[in-house]
Amino acid sequence: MATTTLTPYEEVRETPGHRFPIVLGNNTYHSVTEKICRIAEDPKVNTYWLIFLIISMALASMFVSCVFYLFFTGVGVWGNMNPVFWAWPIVNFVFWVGIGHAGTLISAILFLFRQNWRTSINRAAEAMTIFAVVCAGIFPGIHIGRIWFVYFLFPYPNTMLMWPQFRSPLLWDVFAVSTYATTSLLFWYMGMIPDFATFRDRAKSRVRQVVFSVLSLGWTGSARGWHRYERAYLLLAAMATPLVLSVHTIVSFDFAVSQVPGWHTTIFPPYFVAGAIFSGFAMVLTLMIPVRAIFGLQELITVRHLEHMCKIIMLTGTMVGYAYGIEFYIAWYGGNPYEGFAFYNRAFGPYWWAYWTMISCNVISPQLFWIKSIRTNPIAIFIISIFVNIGMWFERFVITITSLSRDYLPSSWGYFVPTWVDIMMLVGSFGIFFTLFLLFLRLMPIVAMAEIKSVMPMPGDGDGAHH
Amino acid sequence: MAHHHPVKLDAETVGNFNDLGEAPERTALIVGVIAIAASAFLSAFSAVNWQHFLFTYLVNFCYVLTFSLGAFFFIAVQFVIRVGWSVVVRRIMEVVSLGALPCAILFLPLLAVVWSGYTGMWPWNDPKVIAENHLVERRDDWMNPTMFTLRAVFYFLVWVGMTRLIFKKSTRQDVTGDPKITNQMEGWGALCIFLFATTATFAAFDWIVSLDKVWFSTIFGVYFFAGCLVGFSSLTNLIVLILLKTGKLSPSVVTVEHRHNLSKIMFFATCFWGYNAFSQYLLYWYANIPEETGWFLIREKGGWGFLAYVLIFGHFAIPFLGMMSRAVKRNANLMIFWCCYMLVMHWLDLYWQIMPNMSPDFIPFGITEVLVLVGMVAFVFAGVMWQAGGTPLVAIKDPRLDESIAFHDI
Repeated sequence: MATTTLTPYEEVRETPGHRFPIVLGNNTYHSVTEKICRIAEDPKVNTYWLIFLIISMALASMFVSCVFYLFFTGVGVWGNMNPVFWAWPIVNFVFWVGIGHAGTLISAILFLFRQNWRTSINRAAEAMTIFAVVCAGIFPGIHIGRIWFVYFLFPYPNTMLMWPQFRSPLLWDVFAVSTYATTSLLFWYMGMIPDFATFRDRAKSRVRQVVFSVLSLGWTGSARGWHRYERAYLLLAAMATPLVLSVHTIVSFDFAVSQVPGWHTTIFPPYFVAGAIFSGFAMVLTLMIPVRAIFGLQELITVRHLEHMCKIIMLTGTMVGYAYGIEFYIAWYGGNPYEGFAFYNRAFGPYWWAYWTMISCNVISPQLFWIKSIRTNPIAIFIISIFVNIGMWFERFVITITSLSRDYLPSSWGYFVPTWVDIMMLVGSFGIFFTLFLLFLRLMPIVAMAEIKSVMPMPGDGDGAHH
Repeated sequence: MAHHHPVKLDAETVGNFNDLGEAPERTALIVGVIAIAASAFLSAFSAVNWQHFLFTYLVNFCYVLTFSLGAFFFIAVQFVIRVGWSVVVRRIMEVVSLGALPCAILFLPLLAVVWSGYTGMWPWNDPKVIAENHLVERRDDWMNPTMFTLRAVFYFLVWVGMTRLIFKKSTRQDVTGDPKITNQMEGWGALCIFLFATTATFAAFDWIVSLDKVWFSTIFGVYFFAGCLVGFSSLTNLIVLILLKTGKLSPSVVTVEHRHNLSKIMFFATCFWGYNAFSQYLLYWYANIPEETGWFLIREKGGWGFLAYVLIFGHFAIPFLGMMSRAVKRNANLMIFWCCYMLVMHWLDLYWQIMPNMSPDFIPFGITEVLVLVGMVAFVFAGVMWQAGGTPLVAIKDPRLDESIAFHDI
């Protein structure tokens, strides 16, 4: 297929009855292997990658320093203060957990839906998921005040007969997030085994040979190996699917089981899940658009892939907008004056700027994707994806802070102001995230080579794979 | 996957909706009108029975409507995401969605109830309740006969208009085979999803939630939507299985792979319903705020409480385990059972949502329920068959038909 002449707009034109190839260009199995392995094998380090890594590691170090400062000084270094006791730490926690939804959605749910285009992006998205969950997990851990009792989070038989509060969704979170992290990690790792074996077979140095031999668990590519691999993959996908929904459902329970106006509303579970997928896909785009440009992967991660993701963002963004609207409607319809005030206060109270930032970024900006020339333009997509990331952080800010800062008693109202530690920890958490992601880019197979080959035309197959 | 030789289908070989029987719509129409009229007549002689009839009417109206709405939504989704596998069964869904038009006619008596000033149904229609109840009073600008009617007209304009449009376009493609129609429907489909979400949500609030003076729930629109999916997927699957059993559809066109996928949708719908029902209950139970728990309190007592357990186990736990296995989803006889079973459960779900507002203390089930259900189903069936006419059972010139016939799931 003559591909070099296609403009992005032509590349996404749909001809019903004809399935467009998932991989463009004159790629063969060999060229895909070369393209992906080269990224990890090339002795020359990519300059952009190095610059990003240095910046990220600096931010990550800043984060670690802040954590130590917090441990040695106390939670008072944050802006958390009466009446806003749940402030940025939980905002950041929910933000990062939300980001961590796209990977497993792409690898599990889109797998069950037989969406073959997922093969180009699932590996990087899964990696991103793990790193986002790592960032998320840090925040509740360091929020407990007495860090030396952090193991109290887990229910374990102990001589003091002390148990965590099983009726608290915060404890359910411990289970939900740790189960999700475990399954995602397993899924990610298992998917990489055939690709690790490829790395092993191509390794020139002894160290790489040993490391990737161990990681590939003696993979030989036998038919029996593949058969079991496929079975395990399907089972893991089926098990991971409810987890994608359960994690953010339980995160939403953290808020919704309470009686705080603005938190206690029944749409929270599906609304949070939609928001998580929304933010996760935005982060995948934020990461993959530069990655495909820097490492020359445009033929593997095509404009068509980006367009599909834009459509998912448009859908989930509209679902989030629906939830915002229904909350307002029921706050009015229900007639509870506190509930009504909570929503009025969000839009027109002292945090109006946060609210309208959220609405502009989450509800309005993804609507631009109705326009085809925007959702096929990588630069425009990149900019909108950043807006969505910002908007989704502000959504959690709006939910957490506005409701707590002004609840039932006007005499106890307050205004939350973050400290420099709050800000540095938020910025620093991006450092942790990007450091891990950049290391992944350099060390591991960033596109699932084995999977992408399964949806490519077979050698000698003239008219393309027919899936 | 190996290459498949495309099967060429034409209107002769696939059969059409007129082949299903000798003018079934006329019989169905007569049965429908007689059953509803008989039930109304039997109930007309006492105020209690009349109220019972009207509530039963609403339950069954919502029941038959959910099939059409679920189908409407799902067809739109198929166009938007360019589904290949489902083309061979999409026509059945399109015909199910045509129920919107007969449902619009069935809604007219409910409008008459509102305009007649009848006070036994929606509390916002009762001046005494409005005067005594601050919560109802403040909604007066939104919940009154004029606004209620305007909104309903809008919902039905969308539903009837869009389902007719999709059907028209799809049947035109049977003749022309123009792939551009498929491209057009992709854009229409996106709009349809948006319109569906808005209209179905507010319809659920208008018709079901507002039966209660106080109660509200932000998830209710999604819960209603889940019900639409349960009803639609079970009905579509059942129709496909019956058409296959009776030889009207060829098993070389609609294969076990398609049936498997339809059953997966049912399984998903069951889980999704459970998810929404659980979310709604847990959050209200946990916070325990009087105006929110009142709705559940009457539904937890006595016979309604028993029915609530029937729903927890019967609508979620049992079918969840029962339909999980791949072997069950691919077994036509077992799936016929599960389809019928889920259709019953879906009816019970709506009954449990609506009836306790009339009869909080006991389940008033009787001959009225049976007559109205039979009548409504027959009436909608007649309306659907009349619209479907001689349309082929399969979208014979859809550009993705070959892909659909060749569909083989791993």
